[in-house]
Amino acid sequence: MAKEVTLDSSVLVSAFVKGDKLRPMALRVMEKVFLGEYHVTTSAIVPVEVCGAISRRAGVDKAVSVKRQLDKWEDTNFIGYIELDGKRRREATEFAVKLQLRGMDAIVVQAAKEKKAILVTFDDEMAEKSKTEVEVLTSKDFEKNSE
Amino acid sequence: MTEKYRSRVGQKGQVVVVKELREKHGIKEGGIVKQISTDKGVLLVPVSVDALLEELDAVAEDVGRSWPKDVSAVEAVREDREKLWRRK
Repeated sequence: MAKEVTLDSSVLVSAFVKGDKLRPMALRVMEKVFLGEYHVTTSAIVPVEVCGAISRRAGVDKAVSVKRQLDKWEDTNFIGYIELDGKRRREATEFAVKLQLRGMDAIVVQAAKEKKAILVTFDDEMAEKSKTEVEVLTSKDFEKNSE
Repeated sequence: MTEKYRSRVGQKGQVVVVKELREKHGIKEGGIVKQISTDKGVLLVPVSVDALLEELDAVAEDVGRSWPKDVSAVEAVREDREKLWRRK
């Protein structure tokens, strides 16, 4: 049975940047998604953040290709998104306060908590602060000999 | 092309591909198939995990060429998140 996971933007941006030092681990995550081992639900803000990060650093045309790829993954149910409504915003705010998280970190943690999903993030600070609320996997868990 | 199987189309367009054809063409539960419109109907082509990774690789290759060498993905996301909340 597929594991429920929530992907942080750090994993997706890493997967989309050839040469990124954590990309081999990001590809192992994506392979599990494509194999159906991971069922991904994340915040609807994540693709916005991913495309923005890529557009600003690599250019508009690259971000357009990334958006197209993310749309394809959504259409084939590799990734599902949850919208930020009032209830989720309040819960995310509580996490931001309690765990001293950055706002976007808290929104992603809220999505993982709600879906009872494993949070996959390559941001070690976010992982450390979130682990009291959700199960967390980091890049280290996807290093070649870690399974 | 010989007709061997017929299927009834379900409420949302679902069609069961018979076991023999699933096995023959590597169509597995949770797997992905491309739907291609042809003159004779819809052609289902299984998409392998390798093909999906290659597709991702092609996009990443292009992005990687323009991405600043001294910034990691994690640093980029962290920087954006910090800027976002500093602006408020």
